[in-house]
Amino acid sequence: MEEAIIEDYDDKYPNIDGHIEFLNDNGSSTSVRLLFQIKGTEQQGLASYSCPKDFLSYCYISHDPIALIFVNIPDNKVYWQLIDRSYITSVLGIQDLASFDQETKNITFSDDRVIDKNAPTLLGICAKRWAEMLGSEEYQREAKATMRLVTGQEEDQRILHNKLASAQESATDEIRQTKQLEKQPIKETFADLERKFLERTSDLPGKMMLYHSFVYALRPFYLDLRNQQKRVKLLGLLNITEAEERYIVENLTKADLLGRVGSLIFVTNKEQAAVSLDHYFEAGVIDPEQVAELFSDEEDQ
Amino acid sequence: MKKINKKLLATYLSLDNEKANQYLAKLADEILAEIVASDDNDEIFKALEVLEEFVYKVTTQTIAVARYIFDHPHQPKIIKILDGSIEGKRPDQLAEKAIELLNKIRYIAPEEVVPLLAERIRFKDEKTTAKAVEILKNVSRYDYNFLSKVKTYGPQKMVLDFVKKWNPDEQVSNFEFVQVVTGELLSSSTSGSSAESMDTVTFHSGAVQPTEFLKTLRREVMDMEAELYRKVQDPAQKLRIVRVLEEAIRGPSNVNYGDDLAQMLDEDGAYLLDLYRRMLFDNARRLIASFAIADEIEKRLYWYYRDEKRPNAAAAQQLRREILEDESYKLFKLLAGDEIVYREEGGWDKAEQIRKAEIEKLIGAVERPVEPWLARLNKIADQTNLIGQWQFRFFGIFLTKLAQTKPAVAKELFDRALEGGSVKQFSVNFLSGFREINRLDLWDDAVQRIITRRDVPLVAAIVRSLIDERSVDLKATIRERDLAILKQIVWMSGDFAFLNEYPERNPNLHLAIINALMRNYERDPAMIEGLIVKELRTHPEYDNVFVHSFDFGLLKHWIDYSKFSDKGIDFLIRWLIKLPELDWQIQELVATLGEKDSRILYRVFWGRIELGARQKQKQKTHSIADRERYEAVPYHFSDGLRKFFAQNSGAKDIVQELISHATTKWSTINWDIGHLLQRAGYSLRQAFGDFLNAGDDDSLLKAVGLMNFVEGGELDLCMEIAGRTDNTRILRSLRSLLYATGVVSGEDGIARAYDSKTEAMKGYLENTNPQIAAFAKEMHDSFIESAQVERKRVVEEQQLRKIEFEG
Repeated sequence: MEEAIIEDYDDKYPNIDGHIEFLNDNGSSTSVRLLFQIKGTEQQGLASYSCPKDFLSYCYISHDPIALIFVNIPDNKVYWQLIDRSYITSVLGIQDLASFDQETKNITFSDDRVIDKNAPTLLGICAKRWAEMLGSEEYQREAKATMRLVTGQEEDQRILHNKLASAQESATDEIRQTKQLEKQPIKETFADLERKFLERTSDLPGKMMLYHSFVYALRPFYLDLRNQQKRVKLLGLLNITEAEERYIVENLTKADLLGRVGSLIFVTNKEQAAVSLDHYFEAGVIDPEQVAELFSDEEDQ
Repeated sequence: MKKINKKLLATYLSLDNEKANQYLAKLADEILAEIVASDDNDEIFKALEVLEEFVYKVTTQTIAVARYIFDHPHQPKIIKILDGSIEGKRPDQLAEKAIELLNKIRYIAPEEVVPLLAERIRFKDEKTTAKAVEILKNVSRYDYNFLSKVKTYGPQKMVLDFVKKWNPDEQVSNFEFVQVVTGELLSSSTSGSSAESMDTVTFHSGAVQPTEFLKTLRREVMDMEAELYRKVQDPAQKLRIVRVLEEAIRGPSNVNYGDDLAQMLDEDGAYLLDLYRRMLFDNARRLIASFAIADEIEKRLYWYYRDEKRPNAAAAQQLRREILEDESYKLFKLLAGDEIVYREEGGWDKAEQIRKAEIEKLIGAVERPVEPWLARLNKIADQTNLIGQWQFRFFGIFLTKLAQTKPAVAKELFDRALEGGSVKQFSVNFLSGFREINRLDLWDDAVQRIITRRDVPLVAAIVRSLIDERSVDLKATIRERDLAILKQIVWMSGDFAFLNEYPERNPNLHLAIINALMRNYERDPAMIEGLIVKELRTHPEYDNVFVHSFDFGLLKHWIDYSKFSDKGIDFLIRWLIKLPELDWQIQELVATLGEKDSRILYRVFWGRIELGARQKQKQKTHSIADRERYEAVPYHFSDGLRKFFAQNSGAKDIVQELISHATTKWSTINWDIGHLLQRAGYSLRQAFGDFLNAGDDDSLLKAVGLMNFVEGGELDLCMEIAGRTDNTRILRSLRSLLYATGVVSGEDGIARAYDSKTEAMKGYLENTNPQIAAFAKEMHDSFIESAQVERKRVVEEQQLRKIEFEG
């Protein structure tokens, strides 16, 4: 496989923005396509996307592979992530989309899935999928040829049938084993991702506690335009998206750790907020001076 | 200057986290460095406000900052703004702020704070000294919160030790500091406030715990004060010490206290009586204290020990008797003693009778030679700077009666008094006495002596003696010569030309002059009118004095300004126009003139409105602080002025003529005319009749421009105008008028005001005029939305206060 044709769908399809069609060495089409959807942000440092459940459902049932391409404009980075069944169930942890009750799910992109810098990785995945299909066709051709050799001889046909079955079984094993071998690199990447994801999600309670502390430290804390700049800085500091922030606020409010009046959110127990902040300063997770510098603008006052 | 989120700093402060503390210390160092590097007071002030957030953690830097601020004052900068310029922060404002910071660390770093306060109090800058005294009181007083938590008299002991380290001369040069501290340390009260919720503050009053430590401390304070009393020479300082020491016997205010505290106060009371005795008498039991001090102690002994059952009452009453038995004090008590004590001892009328009888008796005793009498009287009059002037009422009565009863002796006394001594300041009593018994020869001679001595302060006495408040025939009591003297004084000419050589302000003289002119107006109206005009024209610096006197003259029916000549009226109009404001008293004069001729009132008001507009234009480039204050139309109208606009037949013409000056563009003229209509209680609909009838956009614009944007317009009138035009400028102005809420009360006052406006708009929603209905709908919906936004703001504000509340 040499090249790929990229076709943009405009707005013809709701969940798909275009596809990448892969070509043979001679330039002919392989009939293998990678569908994609593109999303973007203007928020510096942001590498996550709050993905609608509908799109995940579409990816789950799609026969074609679908990639989510995420463009961070100010960072000049294009991330990608293959969204398939195993990603949805294993990485996102959604075993049953039908009973999944959230409107969105956060997808975090990794720096080792960036187009341009590691396009070969993307192409490699595409090539492997092509090889899977190609191996299956070779097996069919071999089987048909074998059948022609035994025509008219029942016993031989039976033997051949057995041989065929055996060969088929053998081929299936080989193909399965080959597939397993072929998938190994993907599994390694997934394991890597999984580790990173767990690392990140394991941070979530910590980030929630930090967010809680900062709602107190940066009071008054409004969820409207009055605090836009301050909030953006906080999201950057905690490396969370707006969707994650909503999730955090929602959960902290449900847990009665945050209160809300109008657009103002506030901690229900400021001693708790102070204990958290004290801990994170002491542990070196955040630095008091850097925090003070970060929130030093007039708008933060 | 470094920008910092102050709430964040407050949070760091509350953490008491080592890293946060390190950062705060570093930040304080940076702030100090920035202050040292800056000469911009406004920037420095902002830096102080940042430092204030965490001052408790950085006492060393705070002391250094305060010291630097005190030692390095910078001139305020001139800040240009759209409509001129304003002055930036002054050095005294920075110093006050620095002292406020010291207040916040007074218990944390008293050793460093107290010397700085002493220095500021010695500095004697009116504002910063007052602030430093306030903070020193905070350091020294028995604070409820501190004592509840720390339960020691440590701060009080520290301050006392600080004072005691000074040698006597240093204590004298730090006199104010010592007295403030002493007053607080001798107090038996504790006070302070606490807040149990964000909406409540509880003020606590209590009593000190009479521990042995406290008892010793109080004795040390009393001894120190007694020693200082001997050291100081200034009678006023001695009197101050006596008054401060009184605190030692005063029980805690508004609180019941136990026997142990009562015992401490009684013991200290006995000790104080002993100190008093030593202050009052020498070893030969002669009164050595000034009358003012004897008077102070005598009064105090009387009030405190009237109840004979009270401990120390016998000793106190004995001491009082000894004071009262002193012959010189007896005379003082008769002529300048506290009237209340007299009254308490037998009722008001009886006291008055007794006192007057005693004065009659005294007058009978006054004989030549006058010198010993003058010496005794001077000694009493010397106390006028120490005790209230009101206590000298009987001193004046005595001299007047003496002049009436024994004019020759009194005249001799007066002549001697002129040579020097405090009795001289009571010259008016001699002069009035002579006039009342028609001994004008003595009066003339006394006046001539004043002229000969060129004694400017006594000229006021001459003038005041010409104000005879009795109902008398002026033609019989006021001679042509008297009028001539008044004229010379007003013109500062002839015998009184020496007044021109006196450069200092002399409000007493000009108050006397204007009152004398009013009182004697009927004696020669034309001449006095001329003198009044002359006085007003020559001395605009005393306009305030004249304004208040005019009202008094009207009240007394001494003068009728409406009888003034046209020329005199013209002058009065010009004078009234240039007054910075027409306060209540002078409005009555305006109303009186208006009753004579309503055009006068129009000329006064239109003149003021025009002048106000011109001044505003002219002073555009002035600093706001430097601008002359001028209020063309008073905020409050007097009853007389309101009555004029309500009842006078000429009022309508005046209003219409004023309205004819309205402009289509925004102008202070519109503002002032509109304000006048509202304050006069004049119906806008009635006033704007012509505009509404014309109905063109210019006329409607003028009508809208005259309505008050602070207090809003008349609703019905606004809606009627909205129904007559689709001019966007007019409609925009109407929206503003309808949105004005005026003064509201309560946190959600504005929201409730919008609710009322929403309700009011409902009445126009179905109006047959589609323009009115559409405008009403727009405003109705807008008010609903505004009320919602306002309520949201209110609950957010309430919540913010809850968050910040620290019980």
